[in-house]
Amino acid sequence: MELRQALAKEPDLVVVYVMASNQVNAKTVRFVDELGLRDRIRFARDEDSAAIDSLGLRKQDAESIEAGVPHPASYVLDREGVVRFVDVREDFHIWLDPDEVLQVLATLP
Amino acid sequence: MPRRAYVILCAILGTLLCLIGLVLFAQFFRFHAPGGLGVPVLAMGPNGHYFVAFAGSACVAWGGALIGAARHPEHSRTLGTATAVALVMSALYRIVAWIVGDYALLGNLLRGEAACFLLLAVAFVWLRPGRPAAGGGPRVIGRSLATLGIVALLALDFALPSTGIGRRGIGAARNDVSTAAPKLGEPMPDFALVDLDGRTLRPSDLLGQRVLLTFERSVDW
Repeated sequence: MELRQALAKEPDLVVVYVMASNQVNAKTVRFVDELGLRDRIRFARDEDSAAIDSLGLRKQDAESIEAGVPHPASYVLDREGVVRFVDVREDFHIWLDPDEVLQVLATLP
Repeated sequence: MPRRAYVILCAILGTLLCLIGLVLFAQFFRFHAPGGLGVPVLAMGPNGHYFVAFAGSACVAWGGALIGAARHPEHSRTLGTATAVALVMSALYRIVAWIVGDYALLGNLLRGEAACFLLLAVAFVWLRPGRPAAGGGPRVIGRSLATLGIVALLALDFALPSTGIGRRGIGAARNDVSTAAPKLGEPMPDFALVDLDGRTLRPSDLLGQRVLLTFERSVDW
């Protein structure tokens, strides 16, 4: 419910999760569907790693099991598709503070 | 009175553990039911349900043993000690998980549960029946030392939020990957993604809306 409430405060926000392949738990998709958020929470795969290469997110020293796995990254785009927030990090153990994203969203028209 | 308190403590904790174990079993079967039965009670990864089944078995077994201890407290000294140790280890695990900010370890439970575990451990240290023939001195010293250690952990647990130690798992935005582009104020390149339905999804498809675009290893809530 917390997720639905958070998105209700940002009625025109779309969240896109990008993965190397469809590594999405089926239960997660069902959860999103049950909340009626399928159009606003999108799951996508990056075939041939085109996106992570164009964004410079490919790990340079990745082991074979991590082929196509990007550096953890988050971008906030405004309505014109301009990047208004970037977070790209080496260490995936450190999560981005969601409050920072909310603060950026609050400043966007 | 201590014997009676020990019996009540064992009975309550044993019953609770059995109930928790049964909930975990239900979660395991819920996850595996044909077609699924909806949103999981607990957040579980692809392999998490095996852990849930294992944890459920352990809870029921330990809970059953504690209920047995409630019926025969004089034969349950070792179980009382083992329970106190297990509770302290569980609390320590939670405290360390908080310090390193490992959310996979923390799961969905509150860090404050560590304090409950430690208080229960103190109760077990003092209430478990002693050896009938043993002298009072060494046992009291041992129990006092154990209590001091537990209280030290309890103090650490309470002090963590105010000291700024811990929760290193959440950090401020950073850009420590030199190859990354675009930068702030630049347009997002228009690459093609494929959504779950096999349709192409491009950043340009989302113009007119604000977008949070996040690259993940996997999505598993």
